[in-house]
Amino acid sequence: QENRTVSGKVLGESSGEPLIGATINVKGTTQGTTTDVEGRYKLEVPADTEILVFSYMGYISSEIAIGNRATIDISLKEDREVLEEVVVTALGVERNVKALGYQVQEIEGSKLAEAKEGNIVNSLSGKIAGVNIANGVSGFGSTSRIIIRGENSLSGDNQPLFVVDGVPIKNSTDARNNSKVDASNMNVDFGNYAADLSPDDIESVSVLKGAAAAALYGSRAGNGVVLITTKKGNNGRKGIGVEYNASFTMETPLVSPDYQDKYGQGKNFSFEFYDGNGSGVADGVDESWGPLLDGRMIKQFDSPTAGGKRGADVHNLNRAITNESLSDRGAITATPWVAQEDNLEELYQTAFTMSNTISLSSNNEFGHFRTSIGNTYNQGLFENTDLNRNSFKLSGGYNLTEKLKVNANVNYIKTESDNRPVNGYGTESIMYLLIWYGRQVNTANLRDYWQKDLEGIQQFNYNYNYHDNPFFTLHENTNGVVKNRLIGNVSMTYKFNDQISLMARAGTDYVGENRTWRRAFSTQRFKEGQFRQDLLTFQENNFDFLLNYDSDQQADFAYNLSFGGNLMTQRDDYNAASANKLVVPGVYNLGNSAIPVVNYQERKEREIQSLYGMARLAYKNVLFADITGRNDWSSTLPSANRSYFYPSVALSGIVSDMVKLPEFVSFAKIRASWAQVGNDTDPYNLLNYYSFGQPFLGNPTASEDNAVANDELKPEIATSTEFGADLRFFNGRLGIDFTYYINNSENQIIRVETPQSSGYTGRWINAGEIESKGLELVLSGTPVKTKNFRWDINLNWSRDRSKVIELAEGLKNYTIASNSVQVLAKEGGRMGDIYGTGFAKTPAGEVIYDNDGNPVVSNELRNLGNYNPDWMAGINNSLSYKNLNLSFLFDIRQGGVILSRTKLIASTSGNLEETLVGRDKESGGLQWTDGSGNVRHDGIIGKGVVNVGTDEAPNYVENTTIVAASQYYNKHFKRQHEEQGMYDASYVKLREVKLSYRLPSKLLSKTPFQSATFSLVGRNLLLWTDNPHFDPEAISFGGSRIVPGVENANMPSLRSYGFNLNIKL
Amino acid sequence: CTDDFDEMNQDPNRATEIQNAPYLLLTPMQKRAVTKILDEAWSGGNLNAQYAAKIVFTDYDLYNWGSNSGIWNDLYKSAREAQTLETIAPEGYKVISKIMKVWSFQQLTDLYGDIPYSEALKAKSEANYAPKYDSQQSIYTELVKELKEANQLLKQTYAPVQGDVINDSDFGKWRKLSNALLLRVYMRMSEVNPSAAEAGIKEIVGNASEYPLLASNADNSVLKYGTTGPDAAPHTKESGSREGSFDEYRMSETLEGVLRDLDDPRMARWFRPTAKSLQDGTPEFSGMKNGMADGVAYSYKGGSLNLSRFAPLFFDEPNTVQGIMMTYSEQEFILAEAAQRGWVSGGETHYNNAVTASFDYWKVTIPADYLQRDKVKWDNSLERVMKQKWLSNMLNGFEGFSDYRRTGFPTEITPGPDAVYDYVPFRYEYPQKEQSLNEANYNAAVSTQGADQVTTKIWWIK
Repeated sequence: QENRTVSGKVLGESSGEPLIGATINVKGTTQGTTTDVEGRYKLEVPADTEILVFSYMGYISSEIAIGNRATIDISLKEDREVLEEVVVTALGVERNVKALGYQVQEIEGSKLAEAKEGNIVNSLSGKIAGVNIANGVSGFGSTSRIIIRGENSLSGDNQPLFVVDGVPIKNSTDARNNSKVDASNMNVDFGNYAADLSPDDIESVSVLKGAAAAALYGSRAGNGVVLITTKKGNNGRKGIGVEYNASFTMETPLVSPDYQDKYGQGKNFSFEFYDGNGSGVADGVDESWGPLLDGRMIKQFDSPTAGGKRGADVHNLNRAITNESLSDRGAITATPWVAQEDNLEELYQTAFTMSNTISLSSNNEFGHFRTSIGNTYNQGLFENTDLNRNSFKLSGGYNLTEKLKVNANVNYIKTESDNRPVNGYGTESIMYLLIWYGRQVNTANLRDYWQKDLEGIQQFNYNYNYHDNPFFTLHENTNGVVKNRLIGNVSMTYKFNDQISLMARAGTDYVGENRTWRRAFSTQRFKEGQFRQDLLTFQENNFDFLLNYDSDQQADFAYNLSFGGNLMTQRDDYNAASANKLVVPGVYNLGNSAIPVVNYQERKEREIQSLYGMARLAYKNVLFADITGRNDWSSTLPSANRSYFYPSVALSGIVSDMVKLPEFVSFAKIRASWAQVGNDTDPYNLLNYYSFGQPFLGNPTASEDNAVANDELKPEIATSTEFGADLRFFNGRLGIDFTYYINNSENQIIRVETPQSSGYTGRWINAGEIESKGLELVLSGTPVKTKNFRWDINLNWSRDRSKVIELAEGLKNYTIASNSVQVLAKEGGRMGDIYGTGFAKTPAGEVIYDNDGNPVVSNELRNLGNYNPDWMAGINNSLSYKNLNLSFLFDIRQGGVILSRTKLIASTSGNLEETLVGRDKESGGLQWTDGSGNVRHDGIIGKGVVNVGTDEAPNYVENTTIVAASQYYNKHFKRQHEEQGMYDASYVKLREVKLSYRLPSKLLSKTPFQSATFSLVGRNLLLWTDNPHFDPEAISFGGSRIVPGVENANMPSLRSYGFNLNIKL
Repeated sequence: CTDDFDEMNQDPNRATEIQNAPYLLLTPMQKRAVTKILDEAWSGGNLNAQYAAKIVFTDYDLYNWGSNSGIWNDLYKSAREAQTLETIAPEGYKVISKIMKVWSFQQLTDLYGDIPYSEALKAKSEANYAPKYDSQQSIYTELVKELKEANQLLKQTYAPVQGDVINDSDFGKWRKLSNALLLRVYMRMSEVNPSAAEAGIKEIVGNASEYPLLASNADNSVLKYGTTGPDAAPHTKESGSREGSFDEYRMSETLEGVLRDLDDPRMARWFRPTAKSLQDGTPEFSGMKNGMADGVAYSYKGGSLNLSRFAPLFFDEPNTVQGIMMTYSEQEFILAEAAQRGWVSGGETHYNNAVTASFDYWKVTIPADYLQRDKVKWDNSLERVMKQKWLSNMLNGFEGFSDYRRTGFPTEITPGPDAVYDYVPFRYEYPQKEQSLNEANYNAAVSTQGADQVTTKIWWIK
């Protein structure tokens, strides 16, 4: 057989630029070539070759009949313009969007890698309709919460399933505590597990939002699926492809609390340091109601002393404050009492993240190969809180025979940090300290954080009553982690013939994690130190097979049939040991325990077996139907109920191909789907058990379950219905995608509360119904398009209302979470309703005061709003001029509320700027005479009324009683009065800005580089919101669970900016 | 192929049965109840009865008590554990559990009034998730019945139990405790049902063979804490308490006044001279006024450096403080009071025993003339008995508070200048969870007992 040669040039249609590395294949074979830097190719083909396939990523492949031609020049169309988008759907099947009866949105990996987020979840923020993301609050490495189409479950975490290359991986945040330790540590956020994935390895992310899209992933996909496809070596190039991606971003606080700088530590305008323990004038208090910071001379913790020490060097060798130790220290010489305006900034350092990834890839007719090695290093906002992550990835495929293909992926990720910051309100947290931090405290003078001659055993601090020195906390009281993660799978596909193929796959996700807590001697909560080690191992294995039958796809009626099975096993081991008192200071080893080590051990196993089938039908390429059915058998349910079946149907029709539409309508599709998903429960919920506790006085102990178990639990069932339309106008220049959905979750497996007087605090039942209804709108447009300039706008908007339709019989409330406020489900209420307490009010809504001028507190729980937004929107603009591209993304949340504990508590501590109001004459303080006869100018009258009548027949008159400013703020913002700490959580964020320049291919043609792109990137650059103190995009821990709607001594959120460099060889 | 699912779903970490080791439950049940009351005695009972006063965070001291869920939850939980032991454990455990349950329920009803009793703790056994409330009066009747039964049961000999951290399997001591508690129960009815109280106490006293009683401090039923970490008494340094939180509590001026008036050396055992006086080398004691508003409180007498802290034993020593169920001193005061009321004889002896036992309990040498001092000497007045009993009950749960509510003694207790009420309130509000999870029964209780407020009187308060 003769060969012939075909050559030519491949260009991008709209740009007219040559496409470099486009592939040209002989149809039906792997024989082919790629274009050079000028877009040229030359291919020798068998003489009988009829069709060549031209393809390039992001462009629509084109099949060209050769005929007699020796030269074929072609312009490929960008795929967005012709509505031939292919997305990855369930089971990793790539499908044409037009055939889908449900909505799937996809983001290209390159978009994620450019303006990089340490957490893949964050980078979806604002980009996908119906996806609600809350960034973590302890900087790089912290948890981000993702909710798709509202909260449907009363008891679960409502987060979607993450699937990488077809195999589910772990994502949830694990904040388990050694529950046997009395003096337990505060929560540390070690991050959600999907954050381990490197954005540089990701080809695309698809979000399967509804049950129909996710039906084939079964039980765990009830909250949607985030499908991640990693990069492979099959990028259509010959030879070795080398890609290098580097980025460097600096991070600075986006918003920090506004603190006052007028009054220092103390009470009643007085302060004098003696021992920082209450023996001086107000030196035990940690509030800033002290003297005016006017430079007056006052004895302070850092003032010099007659003993040649610092004022706060007050302890002796036994860490006690005695008369001897105080006389050693000697008399304190007063020093100027001045504001330390930068005492927060002094604690911050410039945070930065540096990331480098290099990959090698290759492919040929026998297979493809890609390997990458990447490193990400982050220096945190606080000293000694850095994190290092190394990632190694290998993926390859090989055609063993014409019929048998093998694919394998393995990704090893190692994450290490010596210290992750503590989250929340309590002495172990830096932000806790800052809420109370005396405004005169010179942070630099705390840097030398040991007391003289007591190094290693006694910290030096400005206050010994309640607090730990921040540098001591950061450097000595560390929370380290070493995490090893291995995600991998091997699959084989055997093609019996053009119709029938069989795929078999084994995948695993293994996490081995070692977390260590160190607490030095003299720590407030651990006076004799502590060492705790938590060892976590988790493994999930998935074994799948999938048998496919494809009919003739060219026929009028085409169909694919699949039948598959899955075996999923999980094993989770948690071993925690804690030495809560050490013998030798500074040696962190369980053997160095002065008291019996407290051990806690937990092992959990579960298994789900599944069989499923799917039929995909297409009629003349205008009508499509998908039908699926899946049956699960779960180990966690009782034998009678462990098998459950659920079906789905999805329909779509291409209206524009069926009827004649006006010219300006280039495409119109309508779609509808209906699906059910069943769900099981956690392991071991069927029987009551006794758990072993910590020994007391040498006696072993156990405790009974506090909830009455139920051995007749049934699977949960969620039913969802979705309608949508996809319309394109003006030759694709304007697109509108619209979706409406209703999702009903019934028979939820919940632990409902029972009153403690019944003996138990809860019982397990099937009950409740949550209904989520929502609208999603995606608008995409290209307002301007010329040869060199192009402007694209993408807008997504969504609204979700998840309502509690029904709880269990006789149950009025179900506590979803408590975290200062209570997140309660009430029949007729919305998911995410927050309840808390506040002041008593008149029917007209005025605050009622008592005769002493203090607000009357009502302990009745009231609805304080809902933490979910009313609607969310993302607006992305992309402007391209030749090789220059500017894009910026605004992320908008409208509605919703958030409780700020910082606001409440830092108001009582007198630290917030607004607590100056009324504190002195010039700030509007009223003149009054206190009980001791002193005339003062710090009076405030609370706005409201006093009841001068009776309870039955109230008579409200205006409150006229003056109280001291400190009392006013103490009474008004007491932490239990949650109503006083609520803010509107609406915000607009300039989420992402990218300015990138791709070097012209002509410039590069003489170099080994194929492409080089340099970008300036910024994330979270600007924030517009109601409150001045914190970022309302916040989550916090309620127990070991992540709860939105509460800012609880959160770290400042970070603004990041820097550059990204991408080079391909 | 789901044959192994049942086995897989059997929790490998926990036990379904502990019949062979009921002590696993006995220890935590005792610890939970007794420690909770000690814990709350420090932060609540001591303020209610004005042994202590707060210098900051004074809300509680102003009678903004609100609902109290801590005691409710812990005591109902330990009562449930006691009930479980009554179901699964050998006889010895059962009788101990019975007494613990009575002790816990009396604490609960004394603090809240009407509470679930007859239908309580039956979520698992009878699927009763919303127990009705019983009147305090009817609960008292049941407590008497239960204690009498316990006394009868304890005539038998039992195989030793393990893990008894109160009386170390000494059933003789349990019997004495049971009878002393019966005295406490009866005396609580002195104002509302004096005849029943009188008859009950009369039946016990002078019938030592049928109703053995505590004979000395050695018979005290107390939880003795350990020296380290989780074994340590609450609020001590060893238990992880912060010094600042501990120091918020100071000697109450009320207590100071009485101790000074009596020249009582227990003051130096319980409190420290003020920081300022120590700095100046002239140690002296000074109390804090109860019920002052935050801020004002902190400047009282020129600030905390002029106010006496509690003695180091309460913070630095992990196991000096005990969790008290009943002491000999309290029992003798009950008998002295019964004598004063003319129900039994030997008032002076009981009174002197009681006072002496209190000094002995606190390891303070009683001044040789103490019992003969004009202001101390037995004078057959209720006021004198109750004042000394009050001193003796420092940190004994809510006993000082209960006696004040019942008798109005000592009269020195008066609400502070900024207190929300001009009298000491009578009870805690029910936990919010009861309102929301047991609403119908809660409402029924409120309609019979009165509004769910701290100012509503409970049955035995006249």
